[in-house]
Amino acid sequence: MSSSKELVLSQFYELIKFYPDLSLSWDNENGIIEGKIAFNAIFNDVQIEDSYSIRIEVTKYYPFILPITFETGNRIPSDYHKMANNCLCLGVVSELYLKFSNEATLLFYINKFVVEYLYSFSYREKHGEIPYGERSHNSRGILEFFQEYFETKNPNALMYIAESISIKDKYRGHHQCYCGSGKRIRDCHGHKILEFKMNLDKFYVSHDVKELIDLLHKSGLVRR
Amino acid sequence: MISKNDLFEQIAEQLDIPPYLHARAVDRYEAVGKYLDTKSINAHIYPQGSFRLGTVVRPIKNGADADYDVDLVCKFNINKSQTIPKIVKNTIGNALKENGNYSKLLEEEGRRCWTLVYSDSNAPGFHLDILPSVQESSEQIGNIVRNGVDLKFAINSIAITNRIDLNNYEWGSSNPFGYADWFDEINMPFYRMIEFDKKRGKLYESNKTLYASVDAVPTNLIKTPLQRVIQILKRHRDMRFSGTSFEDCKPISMIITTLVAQIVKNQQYLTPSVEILLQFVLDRIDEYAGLIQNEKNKMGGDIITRDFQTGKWYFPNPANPYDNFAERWHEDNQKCARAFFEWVKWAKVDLSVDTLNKKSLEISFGKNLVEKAYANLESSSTPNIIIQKPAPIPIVNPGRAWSTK
Repeated sequence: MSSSKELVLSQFYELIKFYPDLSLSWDNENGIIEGKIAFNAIFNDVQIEDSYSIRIEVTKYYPFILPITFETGNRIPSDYHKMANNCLCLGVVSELYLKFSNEATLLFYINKFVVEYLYSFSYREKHGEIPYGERSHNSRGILEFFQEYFETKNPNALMYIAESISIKDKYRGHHQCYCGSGKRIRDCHGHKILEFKMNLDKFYVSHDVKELIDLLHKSGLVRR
Repeated sequence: MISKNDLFEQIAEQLDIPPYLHARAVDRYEAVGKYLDTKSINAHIYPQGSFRLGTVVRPIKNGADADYDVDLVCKFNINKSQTIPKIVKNTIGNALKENGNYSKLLEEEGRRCWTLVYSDSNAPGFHLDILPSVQESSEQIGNIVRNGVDLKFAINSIAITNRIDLNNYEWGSSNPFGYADWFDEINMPFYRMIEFDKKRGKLYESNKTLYASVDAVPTNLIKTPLQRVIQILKRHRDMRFSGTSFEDCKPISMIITTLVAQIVKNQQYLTPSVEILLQFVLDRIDEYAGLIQNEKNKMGGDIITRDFQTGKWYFPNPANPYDNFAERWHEDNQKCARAFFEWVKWAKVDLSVDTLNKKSLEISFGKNLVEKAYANLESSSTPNIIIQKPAPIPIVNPGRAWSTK
């Protein structure tokens, strides 16, 4: 058995303790998890219990490539947050990878990303709005995530961050932090940049950083 | 509300051989083994078939519940080349006839087996079906391996005795131990799907007089979803064929067991849910039946194949290719084949989760059994057992849905 297969299998054993209405089967080396996700979650005192039919595809490159999830009960329309292939768009991809890298298990993937997504859809069905907001489409959404994550809207600071992440040896820990605190970057926001740098081997993370650089260039707001 | 999964679990539990009867059967066949020892017969008795696999269901005969079948192998510690089938068969037969106790329980000689009947007019009883055998020759094991069976399974093959007429016997080839190992390998991952220790503890608590400790509870009394689905399908078959003109041709248990296990094996399917596994298996069997019936599909299936020229079918025992489960399918204008495809249709309709109700369950499993299952479920959900619902998962620092469209 390949090591990714063994990993998926052992994580599936954990998963079914919380989500017993799931099955695991294999299409060559790719795992397919199908069944029902019944959850009971609470956000800002609003508790929602609900259940969805889902299909999760876990490739042989797991955990380096995140699984993708489909809703199979025809409840979520395709113009809600979905990718072109109709899988659920659980968030800006680099954001997902960064969170996932701290606890790379299928249980975490479902509890954190899938349940949050389904909760917000159930909430919207009941209350007509999304409980914790949504990202703009395409690269604008990526920009929003970087702005939030690095706590700045300054385009020059963001360009500095993006280059520090993506260009080898560009990171300088003794430079002044971009946020204007006056501290050295290694004592301020540096760990956030390094966290990104560590995940750059994941295709989607480097892809998002490139998207950000492109967008900043096109905006014309960046001093060269 | 009763979940369908709990309902299927409970129905299958009603099909189990009760632990006290299981313990009694083990006790009785071990006693036969000891008796053979005292007669200086160098042989051992082992369980095989559904009793060994944990897929026992209570049989139906003439529309009523009948005694359980306990299938056993009596393996002589002697080389195949140093004996003949007649001696193997008669050594054990004569020993049983010589004993006043066993001679009263012994049925007339069967084609392959000796049967001891332990009946009780007021309670369910059982039959011990004892299959005399010796270790298979290495030549035959070689043939089995060349036909694609893994050596680790083939090595367990036995030679059995077939009675062809009053005084003549010939060797046959069988492999119940290899088959059991093959089945266990597929069933093993499912043990990690269930709360094994909890189930074992529960069985121990309710049968304390039978077992010295929790560890003494036999493993094959603790059922996985795979075993449950096989039990359910076997019972449904028994019910649906009971009293029909096809009853003598209903799919044999080995066909149902092997088909389900092969399907699960081919897709390495795993789930803790009996309901989900049953639906998956029904869908695949239905698809598969369509595939092998189609004359245009020359390839046939990978489990069952058909020779369209002769009309013969081949469904090999995965542990012994010389054992064809579908040997009789073409006889009598394909009667057994037709019975098989009829059963597939019935199962798909009767057991489909979407249309399930008490009435349809009664048709599939019997009125008494379904009523008992419902009663058990209702009594276990009475308020004296307060099931604590887990606290909701708090959503902290949520991400936000995004889109590339």
